Amino acid sequence: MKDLSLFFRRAPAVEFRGPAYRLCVSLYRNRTLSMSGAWNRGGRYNIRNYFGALYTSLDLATAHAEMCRYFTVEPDCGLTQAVIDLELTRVVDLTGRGLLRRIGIGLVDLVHESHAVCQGFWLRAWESGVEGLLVPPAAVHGRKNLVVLLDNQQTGWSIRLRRLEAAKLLTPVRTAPALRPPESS
Amino acid sequence: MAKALATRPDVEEALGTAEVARILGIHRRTAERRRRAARKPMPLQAQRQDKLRQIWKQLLELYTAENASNWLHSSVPALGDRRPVDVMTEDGGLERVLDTVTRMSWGVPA
Repeated sequence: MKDLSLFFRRAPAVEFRGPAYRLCVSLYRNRTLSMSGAWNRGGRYNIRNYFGALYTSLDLATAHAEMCRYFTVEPDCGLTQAVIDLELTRVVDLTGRGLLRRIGIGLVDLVHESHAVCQGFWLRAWESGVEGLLVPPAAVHGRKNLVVLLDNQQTGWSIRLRRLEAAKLLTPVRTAPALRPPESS
Repeated sequence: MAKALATRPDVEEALGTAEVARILGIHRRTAERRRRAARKPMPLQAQRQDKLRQIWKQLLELYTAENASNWLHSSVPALGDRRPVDVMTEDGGLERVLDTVTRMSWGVPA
């Protein structure tokens, strides 16, 4: 097994400055940056009740496409899209194959249905003080998601919620089947 | 049915006893008997029932009962293009659907 802590300490890191986008249901519009959902139920890049992460996309269309993988029926409570300005100093870009090969995983593992495959890796990234991970989205090929590990704030780091607005899913949602007929008794 | 859905039915009313029995892994008649007699299920089934109710409660925060039922019967890409009602019948399936509902609510795509 490779020394993942060492890998993440030495991995080439880049700065990130710019907007990131995310969507959540309007019920949680005032807690867009709280990481509560990720903390409580976990996600691909964080471990529940251990460390949280803020899941964002680098463009709005990708953020919508990601949520379309869940919302096959548009939510009645409405959606909120957030534009977040980020300045991060230590981001590891895992969207290229080279770096992933060094830790023995493929791009396909990052979009695999099972999250358990890679969670050990992200635990090491979090422990190593990485502020963010650029990763491929499951919904769209060739775009990037940015997972922000909010615990690992370093000098020069900033996060600012620029805008919150009501949204409808941009990608057409699939038509849901009609309600099942009542059971015959 | 339409009237029941308009008044925020519980999951048994919305999905029907047969579907709930399938999800809980019990015979439909067992589910009906328990419902009529308001008898407590066995501990393992009680756990499954609690999770199912938790999922339903969370869905009702997002949807009308009708659309919550529609979502449960639609093929969800994040669940491998499978219907949540089918995933929930499997071992660990209820937990998986609960994770999915929470993630979609909070915007945790994965």
